[in-house]
Amino acid sequence: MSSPPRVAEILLRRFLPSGVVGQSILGDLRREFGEICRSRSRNHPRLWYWHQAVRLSGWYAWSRIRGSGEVHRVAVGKENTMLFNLARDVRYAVRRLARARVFTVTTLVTLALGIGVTAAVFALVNAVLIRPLPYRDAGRLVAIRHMASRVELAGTGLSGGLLRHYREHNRVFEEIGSYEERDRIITDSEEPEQIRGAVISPSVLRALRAIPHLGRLLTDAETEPGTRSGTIISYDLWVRRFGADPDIIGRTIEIQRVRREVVGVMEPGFHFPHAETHMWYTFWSVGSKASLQGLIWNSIARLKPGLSREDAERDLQRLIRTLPDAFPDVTEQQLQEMGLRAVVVPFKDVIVGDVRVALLLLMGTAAFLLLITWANTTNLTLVRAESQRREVAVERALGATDGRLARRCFTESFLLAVIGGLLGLAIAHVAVEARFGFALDEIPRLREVAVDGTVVGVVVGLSLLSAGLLGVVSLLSARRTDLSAALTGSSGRMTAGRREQTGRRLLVAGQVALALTLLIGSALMAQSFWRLRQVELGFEPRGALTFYLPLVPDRYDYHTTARTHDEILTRLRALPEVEAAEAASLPLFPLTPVSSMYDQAIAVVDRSAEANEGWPYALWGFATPGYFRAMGIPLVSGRTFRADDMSLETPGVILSEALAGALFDGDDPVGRRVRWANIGGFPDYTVVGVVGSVTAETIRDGPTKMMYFANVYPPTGDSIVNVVLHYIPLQEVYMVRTRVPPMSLVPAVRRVVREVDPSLLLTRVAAMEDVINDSMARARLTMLLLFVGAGTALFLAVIGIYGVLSYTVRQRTSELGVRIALGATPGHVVSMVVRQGALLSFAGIAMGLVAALTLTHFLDSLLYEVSPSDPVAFISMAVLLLVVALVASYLPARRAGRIDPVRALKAE
Amino acid sequence: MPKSFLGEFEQMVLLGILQRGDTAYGIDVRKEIEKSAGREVSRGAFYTTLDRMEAKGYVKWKTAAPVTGRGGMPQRLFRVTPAGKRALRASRKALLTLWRGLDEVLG
Repeated sequence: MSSPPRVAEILLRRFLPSGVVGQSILGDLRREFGEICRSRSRNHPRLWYWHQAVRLSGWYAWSRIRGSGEVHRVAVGKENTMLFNLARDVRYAVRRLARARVFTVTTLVTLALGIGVTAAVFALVNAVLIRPLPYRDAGRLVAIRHMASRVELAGTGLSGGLLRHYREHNRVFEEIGSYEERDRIITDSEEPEQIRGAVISPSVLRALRAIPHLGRLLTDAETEPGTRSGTIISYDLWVRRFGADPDIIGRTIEIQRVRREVVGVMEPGFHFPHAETHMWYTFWSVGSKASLQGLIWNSIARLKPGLSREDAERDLQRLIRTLPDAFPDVTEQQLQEMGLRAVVVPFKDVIVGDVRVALLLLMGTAAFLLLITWANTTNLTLVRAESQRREVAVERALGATDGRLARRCFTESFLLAVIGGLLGLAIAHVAVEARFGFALDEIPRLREVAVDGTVVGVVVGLSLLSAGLLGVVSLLSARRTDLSAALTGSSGRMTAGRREQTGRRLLVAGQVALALTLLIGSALMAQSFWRLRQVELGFEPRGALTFYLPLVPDRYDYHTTARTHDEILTRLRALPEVEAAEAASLPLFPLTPVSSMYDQAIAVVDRSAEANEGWPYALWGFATPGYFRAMGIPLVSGRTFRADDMSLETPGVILSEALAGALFDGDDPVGRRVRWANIGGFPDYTVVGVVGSVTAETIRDGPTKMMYFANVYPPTGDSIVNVVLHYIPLQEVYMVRTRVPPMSLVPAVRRVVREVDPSLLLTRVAAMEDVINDSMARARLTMLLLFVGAGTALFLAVIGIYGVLSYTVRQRTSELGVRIALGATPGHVVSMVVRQGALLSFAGIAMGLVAALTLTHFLDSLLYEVSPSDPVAFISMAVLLLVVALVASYLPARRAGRIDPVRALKAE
Repeated sequence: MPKSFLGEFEQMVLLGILQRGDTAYGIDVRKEIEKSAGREVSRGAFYTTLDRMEAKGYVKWKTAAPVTGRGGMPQRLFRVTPAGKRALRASRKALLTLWRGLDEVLG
């Protein structure tokens, strides 16, 4: 005979009451189960039993949860009194807080904002500035930079020769490596894909103590000339593009048409130098020259344990002195003239870069917000304590001890702080999840930001501090209650003692002051940002589409390269939406980071000899003849390019106004000749024209010194390879001026490019206007975050003013009622309350102005053409705050004006 | 006067027990209610209601002699206490008072 499913019965036993009750229910079920089996009316008795078991368990589980309070209370014996009391205290506190709804909600909002914003900012600062880089023993990682006191260096890192020299002879580093990031295209399938990669010396991975997930690291043998280095790929790339293929090691992939064997997959989470770098391979070491003019490689090194950066700098200085012995291209005299020295900086500084100032500023803002939060909640607590004077007095008259009072105060403040902290944690979580609204490459290490244990710890700490603060404040003010006064007279009800009132007002004024300081700071940043946007760029970004078209070296020599570009340009110009299509070898904006190879000293031919290191450095690049007109760059004098400007006999160049000014000092340069100041073996170039300067590097740096060479398509006669530093236009930056919104043209452009060569890939496709906006991301970041901080501060200050005045009005209801009964008009009462708010704000604004005057100087380095004590920002923000404060005071004042004297007095 | 009126389901359970008289075994009471109410009665609701009314003192039960088909498990025989009957009466009275004169309206 069948019996019910065993597992279902076990489940039931867990949830049903123990003893006869449960057993009898099980028995009932058994009998019904038997009946169903016999009747065969239903097909699946076991299914039926399971169904009943689950439903019954659910019912009992639910009733246990619901009824737990009652059951528990009965079960609590003497030994559990403390727990029981705590539960009672909490229930009591909840009831009391629920009754004081305005107080509770305002306090919670304030605490949540204060704690949440502080925690979010801390999460950001902790991840970017404080936490060590995600490499093993990262504290010992440093970078080597070079500085020359008397000449301008092209690049501040290492050359191949210096790397070898330092690695072989230093006494302070465990390992030194060099690297450079490059955009590379994986070309081995129908879907070519551009991936950020890094060319590294194999020592880089050893310095980082990186461990591969699969395969091996790179070896020094792979840097021997004639070998082809394998590549290591990131874990992410392995999963995303290769489906986590376990047999990836040994497979070859095609990178820029070069087949490279995958020799390793890095461990999950490994990235270097940036979060978006996914491939690493090495290069041939060419270490025969020191190449002090081309220190283009970035460096990373690991200090030996116990050694400082100063030790390392001393040792490198020793090695620099030995350079003339080791390298034929360095002389003693040259070293003397340059004043070359090595600087060792923490590698973290290289990664974090200039975001530090902005983040520290943010930290300061958060600290301000926290102070405001505490001032605000203290204030609210004080006001509330006043309204409870009589209640407390009754309690104490009935025999409540100090301990009892303290427990109540602390339970309440603890409850508030815990809920506020939880809400704050939620705010921080949302902010971090949204990455503060920034793209990953806008802030270094943004990917590492997380609400982790440390952040939760900060939230807990802040909550406990808040709980303690509020508890102490409410206890102190409750204990000060004068029993007889509170119980007999109505004086205790009417107005607070003078001391408390003054304290509260100081707190509100302080909040206003802090808020004003933040507001002024963000107004200064906003103004500076606005001025940056007004800067004359020197070209017209609107309606221009820009993209890169990298060609791959194995398949292209100069002529095929040039023909490809020519064909694409011709077809683009034929599109009806296109006004002009031109190309240049350098982007218009922003030019950084440009390899220092494109930054060279330029000399005037017939004026040279005077001072070799006096020649200005300029960026150089190629442009098509129509480029200047298409981009709205004015031709100041001379003419634009012609085909013969590319010939070896009469090569012509065009200078930007900034370079022309630096070289010729106001003379007309057209017809004069220039040459490379530090590089021999190339012809002199004739200046054929001068064009307006563009602001190209970053907006802050102002007009760029530029020297343009001609790139005239289709190429005629000689290639320009021998004219200018063996240049092949492998990567042209296209500028397409459109009659339609630029991005809408992208599909058509892609089609054109595919028609010419299906394997070509457009990269960095963007509307020129967006490029400009992106370049201001750092400024925007600082400004936005300050704005959020200032906005929150303003909001909290408003809550503060509003809260204090509302409570005052409510407390003074009877007094105001008497005034109205005696003939005061509502208008009079309103203006009386508003005046009180205005006085508070004036005091706060005065303090805030003084504080801002002293503090905004810290902003100086972030401001562009705005004085840190700019009167417009100061006055406008003060007025804004005053208006907002008046509105905040008007709301409770209006309520005061509407008081019905009869009811107000009756309530007494 | 009882503290509160009985809920509809509580009344049905109490009445079901009374209807069964001396054979008010749990399983039969539930079937009785299902038969007269014409709808399925959730076992969970039924048993937890019994527990609740026991806690209120409206029903009592004693263990009855085991029968076959129950796997040796005991079964409970329920009865309504005087307090339970009083509660039923009070509910009935209140309802009757409310119903009075509404026959025409409600048909």
